[in-house]
Amino acid sequence: MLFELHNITKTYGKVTALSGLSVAVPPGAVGLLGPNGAGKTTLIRTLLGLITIESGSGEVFGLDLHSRRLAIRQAVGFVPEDECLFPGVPGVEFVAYAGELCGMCRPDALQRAHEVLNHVGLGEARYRLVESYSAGMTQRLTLAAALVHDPRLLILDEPTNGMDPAGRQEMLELARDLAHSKQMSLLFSSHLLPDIEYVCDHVLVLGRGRLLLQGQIQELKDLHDRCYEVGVKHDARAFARRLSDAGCRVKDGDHRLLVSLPPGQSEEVFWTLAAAAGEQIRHLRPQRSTLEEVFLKALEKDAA
Amino acid sequence: MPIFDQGYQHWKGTLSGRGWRWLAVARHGLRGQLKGWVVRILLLVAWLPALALIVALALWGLFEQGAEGVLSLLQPILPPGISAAPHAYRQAIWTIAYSTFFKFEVFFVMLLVVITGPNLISRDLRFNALPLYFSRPLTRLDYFLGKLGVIAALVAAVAVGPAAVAYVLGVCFSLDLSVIRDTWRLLPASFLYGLAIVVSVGTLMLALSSLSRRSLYVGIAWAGLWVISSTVAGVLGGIHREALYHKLWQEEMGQGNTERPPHDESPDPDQASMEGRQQSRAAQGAMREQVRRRVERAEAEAAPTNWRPLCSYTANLQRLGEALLNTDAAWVQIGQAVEGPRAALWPLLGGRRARGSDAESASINKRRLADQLVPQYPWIWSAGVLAGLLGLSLWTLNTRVKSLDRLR
Repeated sequence: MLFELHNITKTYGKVTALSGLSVAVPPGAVGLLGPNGAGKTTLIRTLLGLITIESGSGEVFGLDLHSRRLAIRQAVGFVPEDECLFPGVPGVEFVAYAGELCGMCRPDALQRAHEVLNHVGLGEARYRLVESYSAGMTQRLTLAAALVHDPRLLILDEPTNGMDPAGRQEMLELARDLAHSKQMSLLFSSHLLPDIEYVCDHVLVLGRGRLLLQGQIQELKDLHDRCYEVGVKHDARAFARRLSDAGCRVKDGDHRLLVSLPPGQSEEVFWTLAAAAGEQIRHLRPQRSTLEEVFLKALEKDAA
Repeated sequence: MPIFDQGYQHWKGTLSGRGWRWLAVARHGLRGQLKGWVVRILLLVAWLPALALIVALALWGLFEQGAEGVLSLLQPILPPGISAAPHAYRQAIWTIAYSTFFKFEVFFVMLLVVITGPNLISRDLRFNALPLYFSRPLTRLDYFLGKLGVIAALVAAVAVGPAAVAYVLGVCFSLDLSVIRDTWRLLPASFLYGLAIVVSVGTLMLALSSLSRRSLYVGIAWAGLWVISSTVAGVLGGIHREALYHKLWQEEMGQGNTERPPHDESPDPDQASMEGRQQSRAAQGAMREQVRRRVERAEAEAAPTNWRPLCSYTANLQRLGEALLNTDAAWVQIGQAVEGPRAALWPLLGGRRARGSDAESASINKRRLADQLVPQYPWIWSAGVLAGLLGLSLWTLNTRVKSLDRLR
């Protein structure tokens, strides 16, 4: 397992940030979703051993959360949400310093700093003072600093916040590449569902400090059993009436019909009815939820 | 787009143990500080007292060996007792040389710290660097030790290091290994004093640096602490001395009026007036001398309980240094050699005679130099003040540089 938490509770005064959270997450690219105040940042800080939890236990890479905090941080790279800088140094020194703080000797740290800066696309700007970097460059710089000691788990807390579309896409590409081509585990916290969907395979949905939903994104999106999206060439309404007469439940979607087949009926019925009506089927595919629908459903269920 | 893009490569190197992580912080901080030309120039200037110390110890070594050039240079200015047996005064001379050296270096340390220290934490707060530190395998203690290490390196560079080098060179120039037997205590005392300076000055500066995100304000606060505390101590000491002088002057005036003999009637009024003025001036001069000596005595008596220097931060540091180096004993020994000839030569040097003070003028006060040049209040008071400031600094650091165990 990448990490396992058992009944973790963390409060800040009257605010309960995590409430009896138990979760086991496999290695891979994991998205962390949740509305504001859901406990995402507290969960990340718990994993990094930065906070003292009131109750519960847990492990990251089999290392105990309570007793092996520094060992966990050694194995993890973290890109914080806010703009953070070691001031007064050029980019390459910044990244090398991050490596030295993790225990790398200076020559190794410098060599590695050049490599990771090239990887994140800051090779040309490596000798510029970090204070002169734009928001997007700063974010890539902190990513480079998180990668310098080659962590087994990379935690990205809202990494695309405040970035322009091009910068955001580059950051997503980098994260995706690390997770899928370089076998680095990733915990990607974001409000932006498309970002999570693009980068991650697995998702955790938090709400009010509790786990609302967890699983492989593809599996969560395949919830609509025997539902199809159907598009026809001519008269969609007439075709919808025919489907209803055949016992199907039909809803109007955006330019598509959303059709639920009754028990015992197969998708052959679409072709049969279309042939009978002289209609052409232009679009037919099993209906899948978007991640947004999955997320909203989880929140609605929690609110209920 | 690079022609040959290797992409991300895994790293297979080894990481050092956690015990030395603070060293990375210290190295990084020091590298940053030494980029500034002001710091580099100040370091060079701060080595001048070290140069003077080396010259002083070398000269004394040569003087002990009876080198002619040095003898002709030093013999006229040294008391005969010291010139006759320089070996006996070796420890005292070395101690005084080290004490003087450290007085200068405390000044330079304060100056270096005001230039390099304000940035140490305030800039990290301004650029929100703490999450970057604490999300790595680094504790808050490592962070503080690293920042303290920057100040420690500077103190070592201007005070402790030169003191050690001067010691070695002093021993070399003396060509006598018994020097080590007589003076070895200076070496651990210098290290301990350097450590005390690092801990006190370092934590105080770090605490001030953690109070603001603007380094300028921190620098002003430090300069204020240094200058104002010294000024307050000086003013309080001055007021005390003036009040004592005034009180004793009034007492002397009262006694003078009752004891003054009546003027003889002179047949010439002008001559009588002139003689009267001369007598009056002589009496006033004698009275001033008498008061001055009484003030000196009263100050010496009150010195062990004089708390006023405690208001000065640097005076407290120096008091600790005097205690560690045992400067008082050194000045007492020198006082023995200086005060004998002084008492014998007192009448020849034109020392004014005050009422009933001939015996006092001629008497030998071995402690006179020590009382004047070394603070006499208990060193533990200064240690207490510095310990209090240390506690306050640690509390401030603990409060201001928080871990990330907070909601926002």
